[in-house]
Amino acid sequence: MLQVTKRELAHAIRWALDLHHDPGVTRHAEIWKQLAHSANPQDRQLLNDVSRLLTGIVEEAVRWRLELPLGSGPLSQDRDGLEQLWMAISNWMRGDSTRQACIQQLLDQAVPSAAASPPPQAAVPARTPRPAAPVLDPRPAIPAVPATALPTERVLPIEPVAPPEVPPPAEPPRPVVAGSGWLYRPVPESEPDRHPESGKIAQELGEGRLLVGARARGKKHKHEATNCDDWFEFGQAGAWTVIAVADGAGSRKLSRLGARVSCERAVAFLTGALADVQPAADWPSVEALLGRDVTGRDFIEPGLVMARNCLHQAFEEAYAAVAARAGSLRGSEPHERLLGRPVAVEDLSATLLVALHRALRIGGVRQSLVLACQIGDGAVAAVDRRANIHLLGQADSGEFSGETDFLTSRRLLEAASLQRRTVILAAPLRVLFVMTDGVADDYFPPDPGLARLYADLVLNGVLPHPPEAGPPRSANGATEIDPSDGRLDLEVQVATASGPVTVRLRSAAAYASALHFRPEEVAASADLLRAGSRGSPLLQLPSFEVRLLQWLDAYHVRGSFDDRTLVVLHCGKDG
Amino acid sequence: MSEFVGRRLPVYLVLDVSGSMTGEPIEAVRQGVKALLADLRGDPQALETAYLSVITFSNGAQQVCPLTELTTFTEPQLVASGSTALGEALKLLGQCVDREVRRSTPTQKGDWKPLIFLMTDGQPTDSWEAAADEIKQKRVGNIIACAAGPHAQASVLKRATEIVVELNNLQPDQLKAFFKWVSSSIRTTSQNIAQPVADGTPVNLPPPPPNSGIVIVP
Repeated sequence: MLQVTKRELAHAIRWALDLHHDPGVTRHAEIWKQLAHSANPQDRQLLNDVSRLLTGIVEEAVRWRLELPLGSGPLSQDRDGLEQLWMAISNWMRGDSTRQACIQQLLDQAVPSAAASPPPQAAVPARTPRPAAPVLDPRPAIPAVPATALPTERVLPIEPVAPPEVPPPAEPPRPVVAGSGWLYRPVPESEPDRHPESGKIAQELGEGRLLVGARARGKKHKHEATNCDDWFEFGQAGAWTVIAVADGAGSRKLSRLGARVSCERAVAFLTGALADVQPAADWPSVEALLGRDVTGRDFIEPGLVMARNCLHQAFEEAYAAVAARAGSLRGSEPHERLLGRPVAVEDLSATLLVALHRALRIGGVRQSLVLACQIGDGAVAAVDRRANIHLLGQADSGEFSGETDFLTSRRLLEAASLQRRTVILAAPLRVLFVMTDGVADDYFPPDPGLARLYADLVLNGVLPHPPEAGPPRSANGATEIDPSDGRLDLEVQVATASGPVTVRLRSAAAYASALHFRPEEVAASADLLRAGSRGSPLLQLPSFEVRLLQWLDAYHVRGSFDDRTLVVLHCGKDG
Repeated sequence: MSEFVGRRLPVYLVLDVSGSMTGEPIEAVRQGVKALLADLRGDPQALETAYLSVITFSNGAQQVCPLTELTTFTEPQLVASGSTALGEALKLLGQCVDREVRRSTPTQKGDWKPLIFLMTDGQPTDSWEAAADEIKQKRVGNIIACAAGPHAQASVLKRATEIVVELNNLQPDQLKAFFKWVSSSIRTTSQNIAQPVADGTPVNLPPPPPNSGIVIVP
C-alpha cells in the first residue's frame, strides 16, 4: 500500500487525465494504478468527485446550447470555449447513424420524437432512470481547482445509454487525414449489415474477351464513416454475359441492401433463364437480326424477344427480392432502432442497370449484341472501334441534380415503362460499360465523355490497349511525346485505412492536350493509346481488377466524392 | 483541366457598405468574411464544392469578387461610405447569377442551387420594390437576408425572400456570430448536397447559435 501525499495524488490524477505532465511519470503511474483499483470508499469518492466536476464543464456546454442559465465561474464565462466544446460534442453526436439513433433514444425519454409511437418496452434502458424534466438547482460556480466540498447530490448524464441487447460500440480508430482534410473512417462495427468496403473481380470470357468490375467506397462515405451504397454482379449463361449494377439512395440508410439484393437476384435469375435463349449465331445483316414485326413495334426474332422478356422479368424479380428483404427485417431490433420505425421497402431504394451481351456473327463479322435496361441514374453505354459512343439507356433525373428514380418506384416496372427503357444494339464494339453515377457524372456528357473514359482506362493499364496498335506515330506537327518519363502523370492522395497513400495516375485529357488532340481522338487511335500507356504507374499492380479498383479509388475530379462502380466488358480483337 | 470542374455550390455575399457601417461594423464584416473563408477552407466538402462571390452596395452596387473557388479567393477590400442602394444590389445579383451560374443542359451538369446571404443595416435609399419583386420571382437560389441593427427593416427584406433574420445590433460579437452562422449554413448545404430532394424544398439551415442575437423572422 503506497503512502501518497495529497500533492502526489493530484499529480497522478492530472497525469491520468492527460493534462500537463509534472515530472515523475513512473510515480504517477504507480499511484494512479493504486487509486483506480482501490476499494477504499474515500478513493472511490475522490474519483467520482473529479468525474462530476469535469462532467459539469461538458454540461455547461450543453446548457449553453439550450440557452439555460450558466454558472459564474471562469469556464462558464468563456463563451468561445463553450461553443468549441459544443461543436466537438455536436460533431461526435452526428458521428454515425448508430450513434445518432442512440442519442435520439436518449432524447425520447424527455420528449418523444414525432415519428415514434410510444417506444416499445424493450427499448427502455435497464439503468437507473433519470428525471424526465431537468431539475434546475441553484448552480454553484465551477471552481478553477478541484474543490473538496461537493454540491448537492444530483443525477448527472453520463455516457449515452446503449440498449442492453447490443454491446456498446467499439472505440472508433483515429480518423486518418488525406489531402485537403478528407478523412478515412471505417464503418462502425455496431452498424447492421455492414457492406464490404470495396469489390473487384475479373473474368476471361474466351475468344479474347475480358470482363472486369470494381466498386470503391466514395470519399464522402469514408469521411462520414458510412457504408458504400453501390453494388455489382455479373454472370454467364452459355454465350450470354449478364451484368447488373446498382446504387443505393443516399438519403436511405439501408439502401445498400436494396442495391446488393437486386443485383444478386437479377443476375441469378438471368443466368438461369437465358440458358435456353439462343438467337441464331449467324446473321446476314443487322437489319435481319433486328427485323421488326409489321407494326414496327416488336421484334420478330424470337430469341431476341425472349431475351428482352427475360430482362424485364429480371427487374420484377429484383423488386420482389428487395421487398422480401425489407419484409424479413420487420421486427429486427437493430434495423428498427436505426430508422426509428419498422423497415419499409422504400428504405432499400436503389437504382438498377442491367445489360445482356453475346457475340454473334453478322455478315460474317463477329459483333456484339447488347440488350440493356436502366432504372435511375448511372450509365450503360458501348464504345466502338472508332470511339463512337452508343448510349444504351437514359439516366432518370429531375430538374435539380440529385433527383432520380428507383427500382422501388413500382410504377416504373409497368410493361410500357420497361419497354421504353430497353435498348438493343448490334455492332462491333470495343467495350461495353455499366456504371453508377459516381463515374458517369465525371464523364458527362456521355458523348464524347465515355470515349475519354475508355482512354483513361487504357492509359492507366486497367484495360489492354487495342491489339492492332502499331508503333506510335506523331500527331500533326507535334513532336512525339513519350509519357514513360512520368511527365504527364498526376499525383493524387487517397485516404485509406492505413493512412494517406499517394497514387500516380495518367490522364487522357492531359495526354491528349500535350499532343494537341481531343481526348476522343486519342481514344480512337490504337497507336496513341499504346504509346500513352507505356510505363504507366498502375502497371505495377498485378491484375486488371486490382488496377481498376485502385483507379476508381484514386482518380480525382473536383466535387466528385460519390461511390464509384464500373463494370467493363472488353471485346478484344473482334468486337 | 478547367472543363471538368464538376458541379459547384455558388455562394453570393451581398453586403451593405453604406456610411453607417463606418468604423467597428465594417471592420467586423471584414473579420467575418476572413473567418468564413478559413472555416470553409477547413472543410473538405465545402472546399471542393463552394465557390464564393462578393457584391457590395452603397451609392450603387458592385461585384467586388466574381464567383471564385475557395483556394484562389482573395478577400475584398471593404470601405464604408455612401447610401444604401438595395435595389441596385438586387438587380446586380440577378445579373451575376444569370452570367455566372450554370444551369443544367443535356450536355452540361448544372451548378447546385445557389446560396445568397444579404446583409443591410438600414433603410434602402433607392427604389427597391420592383427589384425585390423581380428577384423573388426569378428564383435565383436560396436568399437569406439579414436585417442588422435597429434601423434595418425585416419587412423590406421579406419582399425579396421568405428567409429573413434579424441581428440585434452591429457589435463585433454580433457580426462575428452572424458570419459563423453563414459558414455553418454553407457547410451544411455542401454536405447534404447530393441527397435527392424534391424541387422547391426549402433550404436546410442550422439553428443560429444561442444568445447570438440572431433571430429568424417568422
